[in-house]
Amino acid sequence: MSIPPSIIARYKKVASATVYSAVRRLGYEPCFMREVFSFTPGITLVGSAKTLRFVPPRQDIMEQTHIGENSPEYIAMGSCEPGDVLVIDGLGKKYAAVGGDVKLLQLKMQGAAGLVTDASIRDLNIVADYGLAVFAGGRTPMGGAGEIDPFEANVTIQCGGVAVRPGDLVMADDDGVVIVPECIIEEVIDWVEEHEEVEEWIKTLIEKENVAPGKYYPPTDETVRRYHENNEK
Amino acid sequence: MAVSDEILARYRKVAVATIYSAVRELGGYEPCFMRGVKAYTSQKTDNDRLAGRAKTLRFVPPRKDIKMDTQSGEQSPEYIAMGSCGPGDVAIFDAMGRNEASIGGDVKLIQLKNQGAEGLVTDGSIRDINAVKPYGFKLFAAGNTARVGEPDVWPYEANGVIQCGGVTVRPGDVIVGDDDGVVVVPERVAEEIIEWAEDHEKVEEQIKTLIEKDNVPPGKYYNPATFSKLSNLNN
Repeated sequence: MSIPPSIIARYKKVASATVYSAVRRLGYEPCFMREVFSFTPGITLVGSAKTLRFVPPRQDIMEQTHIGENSPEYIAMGSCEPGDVLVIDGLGKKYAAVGGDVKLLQLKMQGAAGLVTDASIRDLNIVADYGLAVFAGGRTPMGGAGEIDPFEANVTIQCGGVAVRPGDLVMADDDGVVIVPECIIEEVIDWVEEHEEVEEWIKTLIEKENVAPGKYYPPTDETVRRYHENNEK
Repeated sequence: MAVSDEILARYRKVAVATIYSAVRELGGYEPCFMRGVKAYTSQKTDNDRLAGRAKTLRFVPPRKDIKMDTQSGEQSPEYIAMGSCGPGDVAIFDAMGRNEASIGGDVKLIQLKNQGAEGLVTDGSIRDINAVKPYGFKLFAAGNTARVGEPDVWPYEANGVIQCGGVTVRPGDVIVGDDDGVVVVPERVAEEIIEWAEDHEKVEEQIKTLIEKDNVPPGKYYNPATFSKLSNLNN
């Protein structure tokens, strides 16, 4: 069920932009998260998703869910294996934090690779030192109190307008966050690797011939065939 | 135990603004008022006011594999949710606040009419609005649209905990709505809230009479002290 390390390693070498094109090409749209940005620039985050869903706060629900170490947030973080990414549905609340240095210590202890949320993060400077890659809607000094409350771990959620299921592959870099549904993880990376090679080849052609990119871009099946012809002799 | 029809009938007689004050001040439940959700059917009499037990439906952003994995046809979550509604029940559809996304039109929503449901509330949009209004159930939405929902939202789960208009809703909560908007009353405080609201409305009427009679600024009587004094006199 977990994603093989060899696949993760392949994704780490490619760009989220190309992964986006591949996922979209297979008919999965939306797959790019709106209003979610890298807060640890230069880092590519790739990992298997665990999920956490927040809801607007409600006293009666909080009485049932705020049960110390068994609160949904700790169940979700505790379910992360080394290299996993926790994706948190914060209802797009840009001024509410899903957690800070104290709570997110658990992700560090679990060896998670990072977290993604459409809400905000607090104490970022300390959290970044935990070695976690952070993608969020913003930074805030506020907690979540009054706006969002953790409700449910490891169910289907939305984050940044994209549906996310536990087990999906999260692909994030400075361009943003793309979700690769579990059922197409291998198909996507195969296409992405070939496509990135073709794109590199096209870039050399454009420069060499001094032509408008439109001559070769986007690549047609014919361009891809020519690439193989020229490069696999 | 589910909130009774008798309690719902009492809710229909009280302004939603007063219910809001009760839920907020008495119950400490905030947020309880849905943002961006407006009445599409008007209130000419008390009985036109929405008061019903919540049944819920959660939409997620569309995804090909999720579409294949969720039941289609009559067993789709949207029909399970609407099918669970009877008289006195309100369907609450969580469209993730995508006010441009359609949650259904005259064909799908005919099921709520067939079930004799009390109403429909969503933070998404309704299509074929003029065909849906005459169905007779009470209608509250964030908008109306000609588009279909599929590019934006996909029905995922019936009768779980949802958000709608920024408020958490559980199946069984009392949902009230009038021209001022929609308020969620958590099931466990439904009886307590209506008692307080009825009492509060009586006192407000008395205060309005006093203000007009004495020709004074509302501040003279419109405060907590007056409320408790008049409320005690009434009891």
